[in-house]
Amino acid sequence: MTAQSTAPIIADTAPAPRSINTGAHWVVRTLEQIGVTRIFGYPGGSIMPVYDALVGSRLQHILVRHEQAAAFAADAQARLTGTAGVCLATSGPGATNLLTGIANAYMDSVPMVILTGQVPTSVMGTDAFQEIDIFGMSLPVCKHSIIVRDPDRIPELIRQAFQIAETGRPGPVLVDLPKDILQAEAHPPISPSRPKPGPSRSISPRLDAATALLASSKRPVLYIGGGVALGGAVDALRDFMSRTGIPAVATLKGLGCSHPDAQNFMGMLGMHGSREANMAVQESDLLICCGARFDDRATGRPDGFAPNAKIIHMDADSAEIGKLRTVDIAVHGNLAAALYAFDTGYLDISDWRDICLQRKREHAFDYDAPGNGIFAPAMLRQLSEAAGDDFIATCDVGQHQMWVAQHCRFNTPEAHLTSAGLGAMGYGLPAGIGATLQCPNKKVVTITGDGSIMMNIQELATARRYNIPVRILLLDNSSLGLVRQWQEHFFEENYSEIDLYDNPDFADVARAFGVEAFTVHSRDQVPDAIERLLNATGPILAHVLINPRENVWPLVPPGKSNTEMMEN
Amino acid sequence: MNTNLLSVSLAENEGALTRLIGLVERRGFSINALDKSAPTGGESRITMEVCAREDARRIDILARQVSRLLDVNTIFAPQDIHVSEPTGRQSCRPQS
Repeated sequence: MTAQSTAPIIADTAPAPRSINTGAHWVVRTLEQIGVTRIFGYPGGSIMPVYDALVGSRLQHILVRHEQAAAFAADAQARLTGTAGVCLATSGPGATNLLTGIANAYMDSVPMVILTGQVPTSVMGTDAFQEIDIFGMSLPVCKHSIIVRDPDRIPELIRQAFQIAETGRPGPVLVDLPKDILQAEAHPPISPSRPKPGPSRSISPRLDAATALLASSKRPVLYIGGGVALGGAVDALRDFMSRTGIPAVATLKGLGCSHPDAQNFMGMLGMHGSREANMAVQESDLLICCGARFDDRATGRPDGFAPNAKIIHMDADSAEIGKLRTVDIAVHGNLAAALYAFDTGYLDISDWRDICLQRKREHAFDYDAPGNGIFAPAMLRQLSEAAGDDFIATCDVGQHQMWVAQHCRFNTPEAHLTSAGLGAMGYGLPAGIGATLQCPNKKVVTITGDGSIMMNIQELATARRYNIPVRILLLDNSSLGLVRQWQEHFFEENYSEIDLYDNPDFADVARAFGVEAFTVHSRDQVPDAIERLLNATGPILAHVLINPRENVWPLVPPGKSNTEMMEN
Repeated sequence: MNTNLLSVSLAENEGALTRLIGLVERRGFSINALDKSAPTGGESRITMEVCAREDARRIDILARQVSRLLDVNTIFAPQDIHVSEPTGRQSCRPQS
């Protein structure tokens, strides 16, 4: 018998005071110190120490009903603030449920910090309960991933995660937190060591060559991508556009960078782009790519894209320059500085401008449609006009997403939150929740379809729980419309698994969640429906029945060049 | 098809090697040969012989994508070694 064993098993009947210096407390404290005010998450076994430490914290925790929604909501908040959104989940299924949302942030270069619980280090690698190698699974969809193995390094590594997520080209950073590290006493050093600095954003001295190339151009076009907003270059771009008058086109993520009423703005290019945008690009002799990446949805068949154009590619990320199209002049660095410094000299492009403007007038969209049914493009146009400059759209994925891009008016890139690169159905409603919480005084409207809303419909409970006045415009064509459209045109009308005839009554579903809802059947009800939606003070759903045969026009068939547009 | 040598100085962080190899594979290159030095001063030297799976994949773009990784401290200029056939290609499947 040892001396130790003679000691009383319980020294005191009162419970020992719980430490406020565990790793989990340092997680919460560090988030507070960084200035985070809101996190989205869902508790579970391995992350429970953090939830324990959250009680009494200044952080607002929004309890979602599926982890994917936590990532999407954090993504939307990040797109609006430019700072990293934060989401939180437990190990195993909690972490894997986040992955689609992480991938979404990665594809669209959204700053995000993802905190995941992990099984204790002693059992990592043994197939423990709810153990998944989320670190390994996150590598292809994260800018960086970290496993914390020392509780004293928690503040340093979380700060580093934010720094990585928010600098250079933004992206998601995952921090995996084993449960024993969260429960251990932590005594981190007072001042965390400085993280590795982000990549340099100096401008390469290629602007003289760019000026010379522009001076010799007769048909230049500006090709605007999401990098303009990420680089804080919206004002610089608008200045450049008004200084030069060069016709401009935008990608899905580039919408809102140009002033929507700018005369020389031709709209979106690509698969569902406007004719004037695609024709301008095709006929151009110089394409100035500004923060875009020659994505296949924008270019169509690559060898048919701007076939006679020289390319100036301006981007903050050198790995995008020349990735899919050989460039004549690369300008790597800060886009705003480059656009302001771009001496455009004397441009003689009035004939070219006239051609583009003439085409823009000729191909203006016709919002008149026969019958008394609801014509979705017209309704979206009316909605956007009624909401004005306070409008923020959070979109789902499908036909309605393309109609929003084509027919809504975005005065800032932050007004258009959409899953562009990943095309993730289910983004709209959680993003609407994140956006409404972040911008309660804006007119945030979630535009969704009957397919997409079912991917995250459980988030109606989140909207109700916090009385978040998310306004949902559900365009219901009782089918997976974009797939149906492709089957109609490219699979010889061989319709396969697109008919959602047995959808529930979405207004009843919303009401069951305690969310106000109403159904819109005919065109004459549209103005009142828009007014009711925009003036709602709590969550509300407008269930709008539209023609199942309606298509998105124009459409560039897969494998075709952007000049081979199909139109109605 | 051309093969290229890609050589980087890699910080000895958890997952750094997996991240590097995963990126090379994901961006459309096969790794024919791989050499990793023992770490000194928290760094190791990785040299890879890589081969593009599609002609359109460019080694200079891969090099820039690799250089974005935070674990990569230095990337040495990719060297085009111009061989007529892929070298070092090995398979666990018996050759028929």
